[in-house]
Amino acid sequence: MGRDLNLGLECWGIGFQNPVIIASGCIEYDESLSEVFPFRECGALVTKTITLDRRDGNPMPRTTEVDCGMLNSIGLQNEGIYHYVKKTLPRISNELQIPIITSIAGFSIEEYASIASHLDREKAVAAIEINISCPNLEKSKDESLLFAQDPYMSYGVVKAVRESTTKPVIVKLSPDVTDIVAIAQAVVDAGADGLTVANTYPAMAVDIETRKPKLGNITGGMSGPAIRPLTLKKLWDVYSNVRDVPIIASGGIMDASHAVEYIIAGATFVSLGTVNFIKPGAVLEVISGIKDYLLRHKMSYEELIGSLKID
Amino acid sequence: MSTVKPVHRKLRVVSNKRIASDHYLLELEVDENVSSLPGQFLQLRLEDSIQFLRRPFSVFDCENKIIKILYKLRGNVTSLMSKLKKSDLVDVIFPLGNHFPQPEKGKVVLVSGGTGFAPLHFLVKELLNNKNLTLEFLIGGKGREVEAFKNFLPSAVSVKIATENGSAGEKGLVTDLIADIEGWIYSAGPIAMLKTVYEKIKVRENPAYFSFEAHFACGLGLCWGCVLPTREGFVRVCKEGPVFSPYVVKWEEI
Repeated sequence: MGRDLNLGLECWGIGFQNPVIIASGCIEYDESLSEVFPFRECGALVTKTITLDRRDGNPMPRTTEVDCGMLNSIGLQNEGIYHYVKKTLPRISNELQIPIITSIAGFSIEEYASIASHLDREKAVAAIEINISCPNLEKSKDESLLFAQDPYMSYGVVKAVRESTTKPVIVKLSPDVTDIVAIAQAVVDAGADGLTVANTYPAMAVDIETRKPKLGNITGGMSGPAIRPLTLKKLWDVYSNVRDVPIIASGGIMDASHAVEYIIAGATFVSLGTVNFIKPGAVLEVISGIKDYLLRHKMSYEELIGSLKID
Repeated sequence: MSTVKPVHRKLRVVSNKRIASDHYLLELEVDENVSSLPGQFLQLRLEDSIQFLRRPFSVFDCENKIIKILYKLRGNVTSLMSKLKKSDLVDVIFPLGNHFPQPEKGKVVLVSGGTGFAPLHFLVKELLNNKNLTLEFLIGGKGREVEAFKNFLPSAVSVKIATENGSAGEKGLVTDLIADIEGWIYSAGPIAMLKTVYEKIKVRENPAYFSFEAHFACGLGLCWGCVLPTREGFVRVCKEGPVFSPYVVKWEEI
């Protein structure tokens, strides 16, 4: 088995022990779970999204199972940027010796910039992931769309963050757009160093007996294996049209074969989200499965990225 | 008593018995260094099933390297569970959540609805070790399955029963059996039942601990999907709970 193969890589000036990272929103670091969850083996941890002020989040129920996936409407419950910087960040960076990518969201361009400048001073923040695409967030103040659904708004957010920090800036795109390439190009033009493709898909489910929505927020975001072919296509579109920007694939990876599929289509990193709830050891399975694949095909990891064969 | 760190294991089925029309008791073999406390739960997944998320079950009993859960047939997953045979493997993460605090002496009343009987059954076993307590158990359910529940309890426990269809005990809701009770109150069952129990005890301000049910995605405290509104904000049923004092809960927001 390929356990001795080294999957370490360097990107954005950061050293990663492997390319398998934990998607935003899916992990609250908790030392008491160390027997269950291999926190220290992950390539990087993307934190839950942090906002300027604390947020209570959405009403219950916040999750529901659907065929081959789940819906969530957590609503970015978090303690706000000050608590994060003072309490959470020192604790997790002390205990986890892996890069911490901090996910952020704001309700205006100014808020995004303000959070980014707070994080710029923090050594423990390896990079910033801008969440412009959470389907559970209220719409931006001036527009009827998510920031991620408008190339100009997306550009504005990313430019403002870019000017507030020297940290690497990754942008998490929404899959719920007509032309993801236009948005991707806009945020790269604004100075994004990397892209995460993509967030969850807006979705809903109804309990037909009570005729009530299954989520307290009525709608939410869909994740899980059902979305993988959809997100794979988005990733391929971005990879083949917006060159030279490392992409983090995010959507429905349940095992190593799914991760390899994304890497072949152009992903530099793969991120695991929903699978962590079902198989907390999935990170290890995916890492060793990628190694096995590379040995079997006598390829390096770099060679595998974007190696899709098209006749 | 202290909690042990959760572990992720494939556990072997010791037995899987039907105890009433649509209720089963599943016994799993655990290694000696893992145990569970009353109020805690496990997250279960069947190998090779179409089940997506894990399912939480309160621990019904845990001793002599056997952990037991009580379940009712409710859908696909519990239907598949009912087909488990001796030596089959199930994928389990446990023990999870907090546990019931216990009084030193006096009267204790336990109120269960449906499979809410499970965590209180485990608790009663522990409470019986304390000779300074007198125990009364009010068991509620849809029908005759509550008689099967009652048979799990030792005779030292005074039991009253209420069933919705009147097939055993009083006809009606278990909360109808509560009148001006003294002592510590424990309750587990559907949220509407817990709310009624709270309404009945709040004037006296009895010490009380309730075990809450919620939709879980992870059940591990990772996703913040299962929160309960409390005076301290939204807290996770799976992590800070499932056992809470009813006096911290914002019932008006449920």
